[in-house]
Amino acid sequence: MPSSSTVIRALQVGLLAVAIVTIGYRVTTEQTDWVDITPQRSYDVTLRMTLDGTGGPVDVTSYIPPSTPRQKIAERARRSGPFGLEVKSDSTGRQAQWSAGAVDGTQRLTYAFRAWPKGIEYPLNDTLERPARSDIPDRFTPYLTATEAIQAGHPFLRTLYDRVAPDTSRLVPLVRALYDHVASLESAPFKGVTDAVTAAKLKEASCNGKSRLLVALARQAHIPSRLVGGLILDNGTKSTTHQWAELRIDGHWVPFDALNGHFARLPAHYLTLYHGDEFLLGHTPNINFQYTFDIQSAWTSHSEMEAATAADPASTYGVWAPFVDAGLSLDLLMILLLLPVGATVVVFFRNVVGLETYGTFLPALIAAACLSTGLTWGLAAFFAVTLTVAVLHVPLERWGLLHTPRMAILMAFVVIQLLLMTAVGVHLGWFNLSYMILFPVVILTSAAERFASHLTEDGPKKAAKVSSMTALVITGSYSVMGLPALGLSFLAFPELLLVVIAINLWLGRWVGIRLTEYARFRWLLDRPQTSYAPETR
Amino acid sequence: MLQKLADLFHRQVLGMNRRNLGVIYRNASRQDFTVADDKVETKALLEPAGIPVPQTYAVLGEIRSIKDAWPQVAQRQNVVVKPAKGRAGNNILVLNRTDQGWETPSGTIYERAAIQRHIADIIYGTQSYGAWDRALVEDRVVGHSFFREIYDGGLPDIRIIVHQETPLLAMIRLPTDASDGKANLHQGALGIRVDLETGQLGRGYDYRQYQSTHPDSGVWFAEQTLPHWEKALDVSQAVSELVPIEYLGIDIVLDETRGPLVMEINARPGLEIQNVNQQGLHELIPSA
Repeated sequence: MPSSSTVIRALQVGLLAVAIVTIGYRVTTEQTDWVDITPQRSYDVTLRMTLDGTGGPVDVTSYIPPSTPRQKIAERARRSGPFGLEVKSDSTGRQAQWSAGAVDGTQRLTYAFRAWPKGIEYPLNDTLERPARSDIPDRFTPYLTATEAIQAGHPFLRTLYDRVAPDTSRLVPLVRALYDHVASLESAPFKGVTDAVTAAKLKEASCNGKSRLLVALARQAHIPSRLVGGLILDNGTKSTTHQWAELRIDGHWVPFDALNGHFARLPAHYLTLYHGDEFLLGHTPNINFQYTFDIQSAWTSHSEMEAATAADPASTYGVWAPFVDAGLSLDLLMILLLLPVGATVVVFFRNVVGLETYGTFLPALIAAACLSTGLTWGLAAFFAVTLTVAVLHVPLERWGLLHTPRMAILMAFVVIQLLLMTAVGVHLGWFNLSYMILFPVVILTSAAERFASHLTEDGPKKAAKVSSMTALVITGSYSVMGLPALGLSFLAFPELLLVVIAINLWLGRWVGIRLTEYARFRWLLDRPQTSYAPETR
Repeated sequence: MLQKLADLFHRQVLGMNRRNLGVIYRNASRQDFTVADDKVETKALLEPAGIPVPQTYAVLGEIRSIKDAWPQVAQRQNVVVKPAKGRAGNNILVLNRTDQGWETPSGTIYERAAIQRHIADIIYGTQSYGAWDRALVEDRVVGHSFFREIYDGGLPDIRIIVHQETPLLAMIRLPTDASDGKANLHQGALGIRVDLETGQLGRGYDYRQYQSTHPDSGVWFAEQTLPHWEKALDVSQAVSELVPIEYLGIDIVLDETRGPLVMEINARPGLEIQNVNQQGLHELIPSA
């Protein structure tokens, strides 16, 4: 009979072989595009508008985001009530117009879409020469002209330009100098429309003032430039939009956000809505018009969208189509697939590093919940719950309650606390906090109770030590599980779970010294002395 | 230096992973561990074989048996109530009958009802994560004067590690003010190396330093020789032959009149004894 280590070795090799062969087969035969599983955040955005009609005709217009190579847009739903909806396109963007002849009472309009924006960065070539005015095609003339709010050529801006612009024929150092000047101005909260000269004189401005000033200075330098109106996609509810600038450099419209410090780049959560010095929304006056954007993000990719919508069993994520049909989100499936990974990280911290944690797999479960709440909120909630249980533990123990009913009471308090935190999150629009509800209540409660008994038996020092180690392991577990490429790889190739098993077969037989044990047994470095003279240290 | 370090940690020191995989679970089935994990089972195995253990007054496994067994307990002068599966000396009630009632070493008076509730808590597992247990009521061991002359408080014990019926390392665990009478290193007790051959004490270790005097009493203990050491070694030998577990930590107390008594046996003994002895266990069990 072969020894157990031979069996385990064979099993490890077998599991890895199966994983490699199936993944290899699928990659080669299904033309799985690795780019397709490159992580991307998708955002569900809902524009909600309310207005009060008084019997007359009402028009409402709003820019809606265009699909471009940088941002893919899929319309999801709209509600127009009695309004007719028409979408028009021009050089500024796509505009939706809701119109109705006679409108009475409160009306609600919604327009919902899902966006997959990507971050973009333009590597600028420092050796580019400044183009002469005569080299710029006529079609860019509108982007060089002064307007009422972008007063290129204004004496004040001319003086400013002469002071700021370096004496160079190179384009990029010039743009850099103009940008740096605008970025160096004080940032102010949004207070309405600020024109370029006002921004320059006040030396402070919000996004639109800074962007107008940058555009005005760029136009003064004969660099075609324009404003961009958009939305910064943060989870929650907002009605503040954002503006930045685009300068025509080397045949591209290159983005610059001097307010938030983005030079020649745009982060992934910037959604472009329109180009030009326009207003996002327009409407008939005196209708008590109000609007908000509701934004919710999730990890998806283009292929996932296809799997979810087309349910194509041959696609990379096709294997999940039945689950998605049953109403399970890919995010949830991903967390499920990542749990064994998180658990492996915990194994590593416990058996290789040698840290002590509350509950064997509690850190992995908390880390999984943190994938939705964010690490900061997740850890805060973990400590808040631990504290609550530790406080409640005192009277419950004093009253000599039996263990199981005591746990049920603690669990009720933990549920109440999580619900309260969720409610606060919803109320304040911190949707991350509202995911508190995903916390593993049962395991959290029993681990927190264990913390409480540690507190009474071993003292606060030991309890604090184990808690901070638990927090450390949660962070480690989260850092690994939160790697977007990892989660999507597991979605694409669930065979990777076999690799996880193989790794644990190895970890399960590892008898090496844990890292912390090097410190623990450092006393063995010097052999016992035979003399027992009094210690002097 | 690095060579020395690598040699020390890979050839000499027994780490947690190797202890679990290479020593504890290697040649024993989990079922064998119940003998060690349950003090009632331990006694049931050792006592008939003539191995000295503290005298049992009652074993209470059900709430209704408390009432029936109470007269057994009430006639005693000194008793200890402990959970059969208790660990690290937790939930142990040490009682001495006085005119005022049952008194603990710290002077708290326990009414009969309070003692019975403590027993009920043990049975229901109130303090042990809901695991049902049995309460063991036994004679209170009077610590040997040898120890009381070093430090008068709590009950010190001798821990002997045996592997395949061979004693490997030994230490005594001496309570301190910090350990509040408990003979548990984690709780602040002093671990003192015992020379296997002679029973002579070495230096004591408290996680911070090595010392030859007791931190609270100031009494010099190094190079003193344990009484009944031969007998204690014989007892540990007999235990290791009887118990079907290869690797054991045997805890022996020295009673003033009865001499060495086996208090409990531990199938997963701690590794700190290596620091106390400044001697790695892996070096002594090369097969692990």
